[in-house]
Amino acid sequence: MDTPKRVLVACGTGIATSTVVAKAIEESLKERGLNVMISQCKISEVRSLAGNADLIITTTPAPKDLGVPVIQTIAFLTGIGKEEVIEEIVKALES
Amino acid sequence: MKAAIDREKQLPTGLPLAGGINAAIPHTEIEHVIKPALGMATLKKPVAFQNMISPEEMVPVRLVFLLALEKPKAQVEMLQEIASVLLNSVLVEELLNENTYEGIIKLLKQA
Repeated sequence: MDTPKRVLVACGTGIATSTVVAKAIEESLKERGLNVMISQCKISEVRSLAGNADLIITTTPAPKDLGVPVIQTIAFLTGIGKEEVIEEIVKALES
Repeated sequence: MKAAIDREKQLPTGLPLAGGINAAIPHTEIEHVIKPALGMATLKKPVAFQNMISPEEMVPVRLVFLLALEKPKAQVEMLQEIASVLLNSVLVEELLNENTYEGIIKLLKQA
C-alpha cells in the first residue's frame, strides 16, 4: 500500500470546524480510494506543523509561504463549490 | 458573550450559503461557557458578518446559530448538525419563515 498522504486541517480552535471538515474530506477521499492520514490543529499552530504535512486545508485565512500547498475552503460548511474543492484536493495530493 | 464577540473579530464566522440566505455560527472556546446552550436567531433585516474565509468581505446574514457548549465533542456534534442544516437551502428558508418556537424545533428535528 502507498504511504498515506498527510493532510493537516486547521480552523480557529482546532476543534470544531476542522473536525467537521476533516470528516467530510476523509469520506470523500476514501470514496475515491485515496489513502490519507488526517490531523487537525489550530490556525496559530499551522506554521510549526506544516513541515509534517503534504497538504494543508484551512477554514480561516492561512499564513503565507508555508512551503506546502494550502487550500482555504468553507465549502464543506456551505455546500458551495464542494465538488470543485474535492477535485482540487485530489489534484494537490496526486501531484 | 464577550469572548464570542472578541473571537468573531479575530476569526469571523459568516458563511455565504447556496440558497442566498446566509448564516453565521459565532462561538468561542469552551472555557468561557458558563451554561451550555444553543441559540438560533432569524433576522428580518440582515446583519453584516465578516466572511469566515475572506474577512475583508462582508456577508449579509439572516440566520445565526450561537454555540455555547462545554464539551469539545458536543460542540463538534452540534456543528456537524448545523452544517447539515446549512447545506439544505429549503430547510434554511423554512426556518426563516417560521415564527414559533415549536415550529422551529419541529423543523430542526426533521433535519
